Amino acid sequence: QSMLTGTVLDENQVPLPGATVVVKGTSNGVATDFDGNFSIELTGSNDILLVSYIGYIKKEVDVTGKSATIISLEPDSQQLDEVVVTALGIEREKKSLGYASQELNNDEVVQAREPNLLNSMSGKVAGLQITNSPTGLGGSARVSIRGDASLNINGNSPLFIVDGTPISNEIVGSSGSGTQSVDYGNGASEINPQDIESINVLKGPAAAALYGSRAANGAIIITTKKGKSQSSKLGISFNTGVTIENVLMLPDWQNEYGQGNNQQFAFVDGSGSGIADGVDESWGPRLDTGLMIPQFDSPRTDGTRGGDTFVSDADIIPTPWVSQPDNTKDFFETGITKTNSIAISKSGEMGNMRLSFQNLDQEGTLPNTDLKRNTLSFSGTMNVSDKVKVNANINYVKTDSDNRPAVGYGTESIMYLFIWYGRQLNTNNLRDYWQPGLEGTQQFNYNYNYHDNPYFTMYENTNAQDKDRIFGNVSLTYDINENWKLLLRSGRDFYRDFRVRKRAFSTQRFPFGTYQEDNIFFEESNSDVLLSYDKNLGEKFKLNVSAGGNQLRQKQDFTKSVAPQLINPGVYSFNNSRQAVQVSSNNSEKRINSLYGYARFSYDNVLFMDVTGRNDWSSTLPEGNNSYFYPSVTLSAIASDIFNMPEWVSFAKVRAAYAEVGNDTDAYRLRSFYQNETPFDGSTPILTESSLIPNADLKPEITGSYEFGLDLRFFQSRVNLDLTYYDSATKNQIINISTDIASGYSSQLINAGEVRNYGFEAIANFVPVLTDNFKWSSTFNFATNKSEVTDLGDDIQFTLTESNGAFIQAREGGSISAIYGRGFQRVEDENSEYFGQMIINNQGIPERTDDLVYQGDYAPDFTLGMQNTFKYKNIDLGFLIDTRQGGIVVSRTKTIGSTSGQLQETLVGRETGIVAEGVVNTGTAESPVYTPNTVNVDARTFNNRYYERDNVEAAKYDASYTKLREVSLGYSFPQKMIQQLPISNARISVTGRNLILWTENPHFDPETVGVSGGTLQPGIENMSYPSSRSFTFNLQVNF
Amino acid sequence: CTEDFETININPNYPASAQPELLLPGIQREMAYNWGSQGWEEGFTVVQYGARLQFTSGDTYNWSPSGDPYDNAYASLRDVENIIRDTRENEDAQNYYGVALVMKSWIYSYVTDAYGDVPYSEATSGIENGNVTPVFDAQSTIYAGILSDLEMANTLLTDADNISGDIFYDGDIAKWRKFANSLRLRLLMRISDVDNATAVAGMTQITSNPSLYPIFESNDDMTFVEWNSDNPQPKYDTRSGSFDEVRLSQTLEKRLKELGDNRLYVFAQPTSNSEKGIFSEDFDDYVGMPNGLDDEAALGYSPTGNPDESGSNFISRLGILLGCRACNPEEASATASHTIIMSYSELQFILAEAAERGFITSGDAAMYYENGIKASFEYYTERVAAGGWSDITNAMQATDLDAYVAQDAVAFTGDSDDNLAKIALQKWISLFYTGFEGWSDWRRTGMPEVTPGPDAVNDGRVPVRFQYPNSVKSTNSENYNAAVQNMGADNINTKLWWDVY
Repeated sequence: QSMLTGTVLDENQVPLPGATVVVKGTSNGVATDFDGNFSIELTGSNDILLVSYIGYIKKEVDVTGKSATIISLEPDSQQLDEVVVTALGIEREKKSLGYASQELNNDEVVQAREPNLLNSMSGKVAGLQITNSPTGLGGSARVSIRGDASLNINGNSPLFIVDGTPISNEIVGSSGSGTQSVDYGNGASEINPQDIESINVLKGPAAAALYGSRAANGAIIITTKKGKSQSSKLGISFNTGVTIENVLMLPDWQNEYGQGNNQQFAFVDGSGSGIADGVDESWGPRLDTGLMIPQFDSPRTDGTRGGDTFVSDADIIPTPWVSQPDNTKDFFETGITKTNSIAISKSGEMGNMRLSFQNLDQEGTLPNTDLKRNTLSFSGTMNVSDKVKVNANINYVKTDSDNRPAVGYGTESIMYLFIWYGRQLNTNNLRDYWQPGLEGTQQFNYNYNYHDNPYFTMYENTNAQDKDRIFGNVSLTYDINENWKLLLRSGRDFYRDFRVRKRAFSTQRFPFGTYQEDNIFFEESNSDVLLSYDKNLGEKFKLNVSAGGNQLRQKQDFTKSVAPQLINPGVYSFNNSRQAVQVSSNNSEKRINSLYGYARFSYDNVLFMDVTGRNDWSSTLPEGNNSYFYPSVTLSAIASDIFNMPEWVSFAKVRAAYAEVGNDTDAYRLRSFYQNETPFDGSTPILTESSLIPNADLKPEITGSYEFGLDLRFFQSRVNLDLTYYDSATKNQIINISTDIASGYSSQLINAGEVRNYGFEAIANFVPVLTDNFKWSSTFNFATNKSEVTDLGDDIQFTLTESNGAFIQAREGGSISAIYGRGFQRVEDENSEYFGQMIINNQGIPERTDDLVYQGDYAPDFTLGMQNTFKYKNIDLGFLIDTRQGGIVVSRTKTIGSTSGQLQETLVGRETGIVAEGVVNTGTAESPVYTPNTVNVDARTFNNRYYERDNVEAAKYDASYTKLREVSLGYSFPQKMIQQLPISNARISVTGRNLILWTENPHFDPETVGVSGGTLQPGIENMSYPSSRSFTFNLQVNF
Repeated sequence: CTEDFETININPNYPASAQPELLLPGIQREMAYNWGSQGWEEGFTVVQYGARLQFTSGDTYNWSPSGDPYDNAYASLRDVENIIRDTRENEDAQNYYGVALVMKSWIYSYVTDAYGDVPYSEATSGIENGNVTPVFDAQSTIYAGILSDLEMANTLLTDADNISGDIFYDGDIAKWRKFANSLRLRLLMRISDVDNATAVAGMTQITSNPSLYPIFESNDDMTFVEWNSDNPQPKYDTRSGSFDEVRLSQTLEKRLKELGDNRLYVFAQPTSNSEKGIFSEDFDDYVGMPNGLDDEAALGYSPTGNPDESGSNFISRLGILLGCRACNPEEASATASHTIIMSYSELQFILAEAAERGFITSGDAAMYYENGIKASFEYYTERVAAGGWSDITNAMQATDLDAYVAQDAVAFTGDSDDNLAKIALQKWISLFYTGFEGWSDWRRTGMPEVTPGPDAVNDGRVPVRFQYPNSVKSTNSENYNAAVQNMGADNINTKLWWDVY
């Protein structure tokens, strides 16, 4: 007999107190102490320990002949008694749920090392689609679950809940007089991933019915970390990481012809006085052939530069005309993000607390762009008495940026500049962006007709942000007695967002500069009361009945002030306004009162039924229609416990659910009103009636949804399958349909439309290899969704959003994600030998359709995420491959880059002209006679006419892609190595993101959305910034 | 606790009603601005004051369905109807009612002259009676309505000045009355080939009783918007590239040079190549380019035919009067250029034509004609003086107008056809950058001649109307189809009702 001492650790090398250690085949067992230590008596040879802990995979360890050992346990993500947080913060055993939900734990979220929480969820949850906006720097991400169902394009985001209280995920976009949109990010992306204990994605209305209106698109329930209850000593955890990022892909430029036209170019003043020097297209002279041409960066005889047009008119000495293949790439920098966080936690009899702080400091890939975010979080629970517990969670987030890039199509966007950027331009020669002696008043550039110097844009024309946000809640639970329980909770999310736009003198759009301040204030409070009654009815029946109420108050104030022109350069103050300062404000308020209740029945822990009901009263709907009720019912049965199943079936559950969710609308949509416009001459006030026909009889929207699922586990849960089929319909949608403006009004608010979404989700989990030292686990997330506009009225073509002639439009019988636009006319006569060919006009140009033609859907056919993790001793390796198959993306880069002669494919026919493939109608419109086209058109004209700006067919790409989204490699220091140090565990890791992109698209990452004000436009690429590839080096130490 | 929901849902940001003086300036600014921009886009090149150097699809007649002026016109007409509704029955507000009728008439004439049949009798009643699919009325019906409204406005606009918010006339009711009658003359002339009886009766009614039907008596009465630094003239804020895409047309260049017409100094600038700045005494420094070249040919066009002398450097920009700030920060003016709705000189040419064709008996065609010419010179002399361009002002002031009028090509001495052609030529010059008027008059008379450019795509035809906006095909399809049935195909070659030549 001998004594063995040892320590039991979790997967992060944190001691597990209270773990059970038993010698196999005996009743000899002990529990570990607070530091995870144990000692046990061994009987002799062939000693095997069974080590177990709730939520972890039971482990057998051979300790024969050992006197000391360290044992680490793996968490069991498929544990049958797993507890998840559901609606209203109610913790439930996962097996009792009658609907689909999928949970991510802290590791799965943190691993990505993304500043934007939403991005780190990409590809990890079946049916959850996250599309990054192409703006970097904590830009917005478009989130939808199970496809889009609302005809309100901005109304498809799930509801975000942190510790039981909703928080805003809004995008508050703005653009001022003449300035472009800037993406300031959406609300949910601001949560510090380090603070997250778990995220539970409730995918359908059944799961979210209790949250009411806003959860019709599902809900994302975030639970933050609390002070750990198993440890009485002060826990300190420290994390530091550095991320470096570079642009992943830039458009495939041509490098054979430079700026100009007709193969000619000579710089005189960059605005038309030279030879084609006002032209900002690359149809100029051939590059790299030894040509000498005066250019903006050629010296003048007096030593100034060619582009110093305001200070010199000395002759420009020609310099070599050479290609600059990397002139756009050279502009981008290596982005660096530093994150440092520290958390301290402690728990005891009185309760527990956790305090954390994170500093994130990001420099973007565009020069002079940055984002700083400081997050302070506190959570604490106090056990006031045996029966009363008080809990508080408070988060303060301070976001600062000196400059966020402008997005979209226009002179303020860098990608706009680059799509018109001469292929011979040497970017480095633009760095010194003032003309000498005119610093602050006149920029230096290569073109003075249309463009701003990109460095001037980034350094002088900034879009800053300063945002303070506080969200959190306070709650009290009172266990009145064995059966009754009371919860009171009040939560709040409020922020103040202050944005400053500066535009310097000599900016193309603002020769006298401009200055703008936006002040945004948002506040939402939710107060809940919930009374529950729990009762065992006999041996097998359990009943839980709850009833409660909620009041939501939401208030939003927006004030914008603009100094349209400045007096003195460089003084950004309203005192320095040359004209009357323009101020506009928009405040709105709404309220929803709710009563809700639910009942849960369970029989023998194998049959479960939940029934919920909720009634909302919304201030946004008219009296008579402002009260609406909606129910849900879910059923689940543990088949494996009811029927005899073969041994290899570890678990089998069937579930079914039906739910309805009602939805209201925005404030102030019942009556017409008169809006202010900028006064004339600063003194004559102007009003105009709103062009929307309001609706005094609006009814609430209702979403109804069925869902069926199977949860199957085989071979001791080494193979798991979770399958869900759903079918939902949203009807009575509140939409703003276009009307003939001749009615005096451009749109009308109506209740109409029914959109059906049905689809299938599968989550498959495997543990192909599991040994003492090695574990390989694999998860596949698959989702497919179809949408159908089942009822809208024959004549209605409802435009959800539009961008450059691409209309996302709902038509009866079509889908909600359909994109319509003009395309090419083709031979429609199936009997013609030219069937399907393009029709070319007698100038050799393909003819466009007059009508909007269906071009494809932005939604994918399916999405698939494949996640693999390998763990060998202290080393772990994981990778995530994310596939999106199908759908289209309509590209402005393609359209403009073709007309401007910048893209690789514009090399075709430069010297020879282009004869378009297609047929010419030599007959009449009624009885066409087709003959093949033979007209030769010069390449510039052809490209300009082929890629007309509203020709969607010419500009579309397959949006499919596969990404090696994430690879991470980690090493946890063995206990032996750090025993001497005052630290309990330490881990280093390196994570790569977006390492490889497989796509047919030669020019941009098809994972993109257009940004227009506060709307993210799916399926639209509108001068998107390149996505980036990043590497993060991270160290985590727990004391 | 839902009793305060009604109050919570009342919009705190905006009022539920608006006084006429708050609506009127918005209508005027919006429509004048739109008239100016459409005048620049189509009005300018289609009758060849300017020619496109770049992005030439408009100049080569490759036109698309057009949302403007349709959208802007009806959005403004919404507020016009709001004024009418609130003032019609109010005895103290009859001047607003009259002004609203004049605005309504002008806007409808603008929009119907662009498209032809458009919604009129059932328009702008989307809230009032819920009609969101108004029928398209025949252009003849619309003209009848407009003419009757203008006649009524003449009787309503008789009170003392008591309106405000008026950026056309600063509340001068007498001038509004003159505008109502002058505009009516413009529109009567427009229909004179299809409904001569109405035209003659109306013109006679107005011209035979000047005290009951006052009309413009000098440049002081003309209708325009004078812009200001907050709302600069429409071209002032454009990027220089956008401004420079439109250049002096060879057509205008040749016609002015043939007449030795100094307005060339106002309408164009010397070429950059001449290095003369914004003015040169020498007409040779002003060089136009042909209309209707494709992009490639336009950018590479050489006036001399010598490829080394091709490109924008060798072609005149449009006059500094219209110039943008970014093009010439020292010289450009935000306010010197007016947006002209209707000028005194235009009225004089209308009267000259009416007299020459015997529609009216009062006055003498030659007198009206000469008045029109002189008024145009005076107007532009005054505007370049306001802009502070002394060289141009001096050159304009130095013009010997008597000699100008006396030369063969101008003198009103020929037969009637010859005189009408001269009126048309001088009217065309004087309508430079006056919205669609140059185009409308050309469509009516075919004079002076417009020859499509070499790369024009419309089978040798000059567009005579706009295509309806794409949106009405889906939002009001039944009535749209009926209109196409009534009027003819929805293309740029379908002639309007009054366009018979």
